[in-house]
Amino acid sequence: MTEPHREESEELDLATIARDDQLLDALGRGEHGPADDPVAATLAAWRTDLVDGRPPRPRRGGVPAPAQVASTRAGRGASRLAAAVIVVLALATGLAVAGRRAEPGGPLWPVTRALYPELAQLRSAEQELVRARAAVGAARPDEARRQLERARRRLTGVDTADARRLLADLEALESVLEPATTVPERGPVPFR
Amino acid sequence: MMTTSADPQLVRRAARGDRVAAATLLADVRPGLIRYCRARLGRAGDTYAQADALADEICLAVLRDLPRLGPGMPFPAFVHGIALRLVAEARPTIRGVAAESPAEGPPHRTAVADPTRRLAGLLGLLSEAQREILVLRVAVGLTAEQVGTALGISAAAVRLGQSRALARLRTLPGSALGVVAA
Repeated sequence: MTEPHREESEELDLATIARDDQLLDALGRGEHGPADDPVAATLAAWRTDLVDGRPPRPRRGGVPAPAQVASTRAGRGASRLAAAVIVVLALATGLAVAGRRAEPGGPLWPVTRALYPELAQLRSAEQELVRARAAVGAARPDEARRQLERARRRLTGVDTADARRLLADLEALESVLEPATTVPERGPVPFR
Repeated sequence: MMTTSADPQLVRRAARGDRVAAATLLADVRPGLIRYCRARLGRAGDTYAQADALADEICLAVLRDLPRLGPGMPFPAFVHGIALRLVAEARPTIRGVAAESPAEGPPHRTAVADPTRRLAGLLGLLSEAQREILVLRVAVGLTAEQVGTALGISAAAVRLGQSRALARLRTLPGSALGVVAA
Protein backbone atom coordinates (compact mmCIF):
# COMPACT_ATOMS: atom_id res chain seq x y z
CA MET A 1 0.00 0.00 0.00
CA THR A 2 1.98 2.97 -1.20
CA GLU A 3 -0.79 5.51 -1.22
CA PRO A 4 -3.75 6.28 1.00
CA HIS A 5 -7.08 4.70 0.11
CA ARG A 6 -9.08 7.47 -1.35
CA GLU A 7 -12.28 5.48 -1.12
CA GLU A 8 -12.04 5.40 2.65
CA SER A 9 -12.59 9.11 2.78
CA GLU A 10 -15.09 9.11 -0.05
CA GLU A 11 -18.76 8.77 0.46
CA LEU A 12 -20.06 5.78 -1.48
CA ASP A 13 -23.53 6.83 -2.53
CA LEU A 14 -26.29 4.34 -3.26
CA ALA A 15 -26.31 5.17 -6.95
CA THR A 16 -22.61 4.29 -7.26
CA ILE A 17 -23.13 1.07 -5.33
CA ALA A 18 -26.02 0.09 -7.60
CA ARG A 19 -24.06 1.01 -10.75
CA ASP A 20 -21.04 -0.99 -9.59
CA ASP A 21 -23.26 -3.94 -8.83
CA GLN A 22 -24.72 -3.89 -12.32
CA LEU A 23 -21.26 -3.56 -13.82
CA LEU A 24 -19.95 -6.59 -11.93
CA ASP A 25 -23.06 -8.59 -12.85
CA ALA A 26 -22.33 -7.83 -16.52
CA LEU A 27 -18.62 -8.64 -16.22
CA GLY A 28 -19.47 -11.88 -14.41
CA ARG A 29 -21.64 -12.87 -17.38
CA GLY A 30 -18.69 -12.27 -19.69
CA GLU A 31 -19.95 -8.96 -21.03
CA HIS A 32 -17.87 -5.84 -21.48
CA GLY A 33 -18.38 -2.74 -19.43
CA PRO A 34 -18.66 0.84 -20.66
CA ALA A 35 -15.97 1.71 -23.20
CA ASP A 36 -14.82 4.72 -21.19
CA ASP A 37 -14.21 2.76 -17.98
CA PRO A 38 -10.59 1.51 -17.86
CA VAL A 39 -11.22 -0.53 -14.68
CA ALA A 40 -14.12 -2.33 -16.37
CA ALA A 41 -11.96 -2.96 -19.45
CA THR A 42 -9.19 -4.43 -17.31
CA LEU A 43 -11.60 -6.69 -15.42
CA ALA A 44 -13.25 -7.78 -18.66
CA ALA A 45 -9.87 -8.65 -20.19
CA TRP A 46 -9.06 -10.64 -17.06
CA ARG A 47 -12.32 -12.57 -17.26
CA THR A 48 -11.77 -13.30 -20.96
CA ASP A 49 -8.27 -14.55 -20.24
CA LEU A 50 -9.54 -16.85 -17.47
CA VAL A 51 -12.15 -18.33 -19.78
CA ASP A 52 -10.08 -18.94 -22.90
CA GLY A 53 -6.81 -19.71 -21.09
CA ARG A 54 -4.57 -18.99 -24.06
CA PRO A 55 -0.90 -18.33 -23.46
CA PRO A 56 -0.31 -14.64 -22.83
CA ARG A 57 0.57 -12.39 -25.72
CA PRO A 58 4.19 -11.34 -25.85
CA ARG A 59 5.07 -7.80 -24.93
CA ARG A 60 5.57 -5.49 -27.83
CA GLY A 61 8.58 -6.57 -29.84
CA GLY A 62 8.53 -10.06 -28.36
CA VAL A 63 8.20 -13.35 -30.15
CA PRO A 64 4.62 -14.52 -30.58
CA ALA A 65 3.73 -17.47 -28.40
CA PRO A 66 2.66 -20.65 -30.16
CA ALA A 67 -1.11 -20.78 -30.26
CA GLN A 68 -1.79 -24.47 -30.61
CA VAL A 69 -1.52 -25.22 -26.90
CA ALA A 70 -4.17 -22.69 -26.07
CA SER A 71 -6.67 -23.40 -28.74
CA THR A 72 -7.23 -26.95 -27.60
CA ARG A 73 -7.30 -26.43 -23.85
CA ALA A 74 -10.88 -25.31 -23.51
CA GLY A 75 -12.08 -28.08 -25.76
CA ARG A 76 -10.16 -30.68 -23.83
CA GLY A 77 -11.60 -29.43 -20.57
CA ALA A 78 -15.10 -29.49 -21.94
CA SER A 79 -14.74 -32.97 -23.36
CA ARG A 80 -13.24 -34.25 -20.12
CA LEU A 81 -16.14 -32.83 -18.21
CA ALA A 82 -18.62 -34.28 -20.65
CA ALA A 83 -16.92 -37.65 -20.43
CA ALA A 84 -16.86 -37.51 -16.64
CA VAL A 85 -20.53 -36.73 -16.48
CA ILE A 86 -21.35 -39.45 -18.97
CA VAL A 87 -19.40 -41.98 -16.94
CA VAL A 88 -20.94 -40.96 -13.66
CA LEU A 89 -24.44 -40.94 -15.08
CA ALA A 90 -23.92 -44.21 -16.86
CA LEU A 91 -22.60 -45.81 -13.70
CA ALA A 92 -25.54 -44.45 -11.82
CA THR A 93 -27.94 -46.07 -14.21
CA GLY A 94 -26.01 -49.31 -14.24
CA LEU A 95 -24.83 -49.35 -17.84
CA ALA A 96 -22.01 -51.81 -18.27
CA VAL A 97 -20.23 -49.65 -20.84
CA ALA A 98 -19.44 -47.03 -18.22
CA GLY A 99 -17.19 -49.29 -16.23
CA ARG A 100 -15.06 -49.98 -19.24
CA ARG A 101 -14.54 -46.29 -19.90
CA ALA A 102 -13.06 -45.56 -16.52
CA GLU A 103 -9.84 -47.53 -16.48
CA PRO A 104 -7.07 -47.30 -13.88
CA GLY A 105 -4.70 -44.54 -14.87
CA GLY A 106 -7.21 -42.88 -17.17
CA PRO A 107 -8.29 -39.27 -16.76
CA LEU A 108 -11.58 -40.29 -15.18
CA TRP A 109 -10.05 -42.75 -12.78
CA PRO A 110 -10.00 -40.33 -9.82
CA VAL A 111 -13.74 -39.77 -10.30
CA THR A 112 -14.40 -43.50 -10.32
CA ARG A 113 -12.19 -44.07 -7.30
CA ALA A 114 -13.86 -41.34 -5.30
CA LEU A 115 -17.43 -42.16 -6.19
CA TYR A 116 -17.24 -45.89 -6.66
CA PRO A 117 -14.48 -47.38 -4.52
CA GLU A 118 -15.92 -50.86 -4.97
CA LEU A 119 -15.97 -50.54 -8.74
CA ALA A 120 -12.44 -49.17 -8.65
CA GLN A 121 -11.30 -52.30 -6.79
CA LEU A 122 -12.97 -54.51 -9.39
CA ARG A 123 -11.38 -52.64 -12.29
CA SER A 124 -7.96 -52.85 -10.69
CA ALA A 125 -8.41 -56.56 -9.98
CA GLU A 126 -9.49 -57.08 -13.57
CA GLN A 127 -6.29 -55.48 -14.82
CA GLU A 128 -4.19 -57.54 -12.44
CA LEU A 129 -5.82 -60.69 -13.76
CA VAL A 130 -4.97 -59.62 -17.30
CA ARG A 131 -1.38 -59.12 -16.22
CA ALA A 132 -1.36 -62.45 -14.38
CA ARG A 133 -2.66 -64.19 -17.49
CA ALA A 134 0.05 -62.58 -19.59
CA ALA A 135 2.68 -63.60 -17.03
CA VAL A 136 1.47 -67.20 -17.13
CA GLY A 137 1.63 -67.12 -20.92
CA ALA A 138 5.14 -65.74 -20.76
CA ALA A 139 6.21 -68.44 -18.30
CA ARG A 140 6.71 -65.99 -15.45
CA PRO A 141 4.89 -67.78 -12.62
CA ASP A 142 6.27 -65.58 -9.82
CA GLU A 143 4.96 -62.46 -11.46
CA ALA A 144 1.63 -64.18 -12.10
CA ARG A 145 1.36 -65.15 -8.42
CA ARG A 146 2.11 -61.58 -7.33
CA GLN A 147 -0.66 -60.24 -9.56
CA LEU A 148 -3.09 -62.89 -8.36
CA GLU A 149 -2.36 -62.11 -4.72
CA ARG A 150 -3.06 -58.43 -5.35
CA ALA A 151 -6.26 -59.19 -7.19
CA ARG A 152 -7.42 -61.51 -4.42
CA ARG A 153 -6.85 -58.81 -1.79
CA ARG A 154 -8.94 -56.38 -3.83
CA LEU A 155 -11.77 -58.85 -4.31
CA THR A 156 -11.93 -59.79 -0.64
CA GLY A 157 -15.10 -58.38 0.84
CA VAL A 158 -16.66 -57.38 -2.50
CA ASP A 159 -19.70 -59.51 -3.08
CA THR A 160 -21.13 -58.75 -6.50
CA ALA A 161 -21.66 -60.84 -9.61
CA ASP A 162 -18.64 -59.17 -11.22
CA ALA A 163 -16.49 -59.91 -8.18
CA ARG A 164 -17.56 -63.57 -8.19
CA ARG A 165 -16.75 -63.85 -11.90
CA LEU A 166 -13.32 -62.34 -11.35
CA LEU A 167 -12.72 -64.62 -8.39
CA ALA A 168 -13.56 -67.65 -10.55
CA ASP A 169 -11.06 -66.40 -13.16
CA LEU A 170 -8.50 -65.90 -10.44
CA GLU A 171 -8.95 -69.43 -9.11
CA ALA A 172 -8.71 -70.88 -12.59
CA LEU A 173 -5.39 -69.12 -13.04
CA GLU A 174 -4.20 -70.28 -9.62
CA SER A 175 -5.05 -73.86 -10.46
CA VAL A 176 -2.86 -73.63 -13.53
CA LEU A 177 -0.04 -72.21 -11.44
CA GLU A 178 -0.28 -74.71 -8.57
CA PRO A 179 1.88 -77.42 -10.06
CA ALA A 180 4.80 -75.23 -11.03
CA THR A 181 6.14 -77.79 -13.49
CA THR A 182 3.05 -77.64 -15.66
CA VAL A 183 3.54 -74.03 -16.65
CA PRO A 184 3.87 -74.11 -20.42
CA GLU A 185 7.16 -73.02 -21.81
CA ARG A 186 5.84 -70.91 -24.60
CA GLY A 187 2.76 -69.49 -26.18
CA PRO A 188 -0.31 -67.93 -24.63
CA VAL A 189 -2.54 -70.02 -22.43
CA PRO A 190 -6.12 -70.07 -23.64
CA PHE A 191 -8.21 -69.40 -20.57
CA ARG A 192 -11.97 -69.22 -20.58
CA MET B 1 -19.84 -21.13 -4.59
CA MET B 2 -18.85 -21.77 -8.20
CA THR B 3 -22.35 -22.65 -9.07
CA THR B 4 -25.29 -20.72 -10.31
CA SER B 5 -28.07 -23.10 -9.40
CA ALA B 6 -27.15 -25.28 -6.39
CA ASP B 7 -30.75 -26.36 -6.04
CA PRO B 8 -31.07 -27.38 -2.36
CA GLN B 9 -33.04 -30.50 -3.26
CA LEU B 10 -30.34 -31.55 -5.69
CA VAL B 11 -27.69 -30.97 -3.03
CA ARG B 12 -29.69 -33.03 -0.50
CA ARG B 13 -30.07 -35.87 -2.98
CA ALA B 14 -26.37 -35.79 -3.80
CA ALA B 15 -25.47 -35.75 -0.10
CA ARG B 16 -27.64 -38.83 0.41
CA GLY B 17 -25.67 -40.69 -2.24
CA ASP B 18 -27.74 -40.05 -5.36
CA ARG B 19 -25.08 -40.36 -8.05
CA VAL B 20 -27.05 -38.67 -10.78
CA ALA B 21 -27.53 -35.66 -8.52
CA ALA B 22 -23.82 -35.73 -7.67
CA ALA B 23 -22.93 -35.80 -11.37
CA THR B 24 -25.23 -32.88 -12.06
CA LEU B 25 -23.64 -30.89 -9.24
CA LEU B 26 -20.18 -31.75 -10.55
CA ALA B 27 -21.08 -30.47 -14.00
CA ASP B 28 -22.52 -27.33 -12.48
CA VAL B 29 -19.62 -26.55 -10.18
CA ARG B 30 -16.61 -27.35 -12.34
CA PRO B 31 -16.50 -24.48 -14.86
CA GLY B 32 -16.68 -21.86 -12.10
CA LEU B 33 -14.06 -23.71 -10.08
CA ILE B 34 -11.72 -23.72 -13.05
CA ARG B 35 -12.02 -19.95 -13.41
CA TYR B 36 -11.61 -19.53 -9.65
CA CYS B 37 -8.42 -21.58 -9.56
CA ARG B 38 -7.05 -19.83 -12.64
CA ALA B 39 -7.74 -16.46 -11.01
CA ARG B 40 -6.20 -17.47 -7.69
CA LEU B 41 -3.17 -19.41 -8.93
CA GLY B 42 -2.46 -17.86 -12.30
CA ARG B 43 -0.43 -19.57 -14.96
CA ALA B 44 2.47 -21.88 -14.36
CA GLY B 45 4.69 -21.22 -17.31
CA ASP B 46 2.31 -20.35 -20.11
CA THR B 47 -0.59 -22.56 -19.14
CA TYR B 48 -3.30 -22.94 -16.56
CA ALA B 49 -2.82 -26.71 -16.48
CA GLN B 50 -1.96 -26.80 -12.78
CA ALA B 51 -4.82 -24.52 -11.83
CA ASP B 52 -7.18 -26.70 -13.87
CA ALA B 53 -5.89 -29.83 -12.17
CA LEU B 54 -6.52 -28.23 -8.80
CA ALA B 55 -10.09 -27.42 -9.86
CA ASP B 56 -10.59 -31.13 -10.55
CA GLU B 57 -9.15 -31.98 -7.15
CA ILE B 58 -11.61 -29.59 -5.55
CA CYS B 59 -14.48 -31.21 -7.48
CA LEU B 60 -13.47 -34.59 -6.17
CA ALA B 61 -13.10 -33.28 -2.62
CA VAL B 62 -16.59 -31.77 -2.88
CA LEU B 63 -18.03 -35.10 -3.99
CA ARG B 64 -16.13 -37.00 -1.31
CA ASP B 65 -17.23 -34.68 1.46
CA LEU B 66 -20.83 -34.27 0.31
CA PRO B 67 -22.20 -36.93 2.69
CA ARG B 68 -20.78 -34.87 5.57
CA LEU B 69 -22.55 -31.69 4.46
CA GLY B 70 -24.72 -30.70 7.39
CA PRO B 71 -28.21 -29.26 6.97
CA GLY B 72 -27.11 -25.85 8.29
CA MET B 73 -24.28 -25.38 5.80
CA PRO B 74 -25.22 -23.77 2.47
CA PHE B 75 -23.69 -25.60 -0.49
CA PRO B 76 -21.90 -22.51 -1.90
CA ALA B 77 -20.18 -21.92 1.45
CA PHE B 78 -19.29 -25.60 1.62
CA VAL B 79 -17.65 -25.53 -1.83
CA HIS B 80 -15.95 -22.23 -1.14
CA GLY B 81 -14.47 -23.56 2.10
CA ILE B 82 -12.98 -26.56 0.30
CA ALA B 83 -11.69 -24.36 -2.53
CA LEU B 84 -10.06 -21.91 -0.12
CA ARG B 85 -8.36 -24.72 1.75
CA LEU B 86 -7.02 -26.50 -1.31
CA VAL B 87 -5.89 -23.28 -3.00
CA ALA B 88 -4.02 -22.32 0.18
CA GLU B 89 -2.42 -25.77 0.31
CA ALA B 90 -1.48 -25.58 -3.37
CA ARG B 91 0.12 -22.14 -3.24
CA PRO B 92 3.42 -23.25 -1.72
CA THR B 93 3.87 -25.92 -4.37
CA ILE B 94 2.35 -24.26 -7.40
CA ARG B 95 3.91 -20.99 -8.32
CA GLY B 96 1.30 -18.42 -7.46
CA VAL B 97 0.38 -15.45 -9.54
CA ALA B 98 3.52 -13.36 -9.62
CA ALA B 99 2.01 -9.96 -9.35
CA GLU B 100 3.21 -7.17 -11.57
CA SER B 101 3.32 -4.01 -9.60
CA PRO B 102 0.95 -1.56 -11.24
CA ALA B 103 2.64 1.41 -9.69
CA GLU B 104 6.15 0.74 -10.86
CA GLY B 105 7.93 1.30 -14.13
CA PRO B 106 7.42 3.90 -16.77
CA PRO B 107 3.78 4.19 -17.84
CA HIS B 108 4.38 3.17 -21.43
CA ARG B 109 5.95 -0.11 -20.29
CA THR B 110 3.03 -1.27 -18.17
CA ALA B 111 1.15 -3.05 -20.93
CA VAL B 112 1.45 -6.51 -19.42
CA ALA B 113 0.85 -9.42 -21.72
CA ASP B 114 -0.75 -11.64 -19.10
CA PRO B 115 -4.03 -10.09 -17.87
CA THR B 116 -4.21 -12.45 -14.91
CA ARG B 117 -0.76 -11.49 -13.73
CA ARG B 118 -1.61 -7.84 -14.18
CA LEU B 119 -4.79 -8.31 -12.18
CA ALA B 120 -2.86 -10.04 -9.44
CA GLY B 121 -0.88 -6.85 -9.04
CA LEU B 122 -4.03 -4.77 -8.89
CA LEU B 123 -5.86 -7.14 -6.54
CA GLY B 124 -2.82 -7.01 -4.27
CA LEU B 125 -3.78 -3.43 -3.49
CA LEU B 126 -7.10 -4.55 -2.02
CA SER B 127 -7.99 -6.18 1.26
CA GLU B 128 -8.27 -9.96 1.24
CA ALA B 129 -12.06 -9.79 1.52
CA GLN B 130 -12.37 -7.30 -1.34
CA ARG B 131 -10.10 -9.45 -3.49
CA GLU B 132 -12.14 -12.56 -2.84
CA ILE B 133 -15.36 -10.69 -3.64
CA LEU B 134 -14.01 -9.49 -7.01
CA VAL B 135 -12.73 -12.97 -7.88
CA LEU B 136 -16.10 -14.51 -7.10
CA ARG B 137 -18.09 -11.75 -8.81
CA VAL B 138 -16.04 -11.39 -12.01
CA ALA B 139 -13.99 -14.55 -12.47
CA VAL B 140 -16.59 -17.03 -11.24
CA GLY B 141 -19.61 -14.93 -12.16
CA LEU B 142 -21.64 -15.18 -8.96
CA THR B 143 -24.24 -12.61 -8.00
CA ALA B 144 -23.80 -10.48 -4.89
CA GLU B 145 -26.33 -12.71 -3.10
CA GLN B 146 -24.44 -15.87 -4.04
CA VAL B 147 -21.13 -14.36 -2.96
CA GLY B 148 -22.74 -13.39 0.34
CA THR B 149 -23.90 -16.98 0.87
CA ALA B 150 -20.45 -18.32 -0.01
CA LEU B 151 -18.66 -15.94 2.33
CA GLY B 152 -21.25 -15.96 5.09
CA ILE B 153 -21.96 -12.23 4.88
CA SER B 154 -24.93 -10.18 3.68
CA ALA B 155 -25.40 -9.20 0.04
CA ALA B 156 -25.32 -5.57 1.19
CA ALA B 157 -21.87 -6.13 2.69
CA VAL B 158 -20.75 -7.70 -0.58
CA ARG B 159 -22.01 -4.67 -2.54
CA LEU B 160 -20.26 -2.27 -0.21
CA GLY B 161 -17.03 -4.27 -0.40
CA GLN B 162 -17.07 -4.48 -4.18
CA SER B 163 -17.77 -0.76 -4.55
CA ARG B 164 -14.87 0.02 -2.23
CA ALA B 165 -12.66 -2.28 -4.26
CA LEU B 166 -13.65 -0.61 -7.52
CA ALA B 167 -13.18 2.83 -5.99
CA ARG B 168 -9.68 1.84 -4.99
CA LEU B 169 -8.86 0.58 -8.49
CA ARG B 170 -10.27 3.77 -9.99
CA THR B 171 -7.70 5.80 -8.09
CA LEU B 172 -4.98 4.17 -10.19
CA PRO B 173 -3.75 5.86 -13.34
CA GLY B 174 -4.90 4.29 -16.60
CA SER B 175 -1.36 3.21 -17.36
CA ALA B 176 -1.32 1.07 -14.23
CA LEU B 177 -4.40 -0.71 -15.53
CA GLY B 178 -2.54 -1.47 -18.73
CA VAL B 179 -5.21 -0.11 -21.02
CA VAL B 180 -3.54 2.96 -22.43
CA ALA B 181 -0.32 1.49 -23.69
CA ALA B 182 -0.15 1.03 -27.42
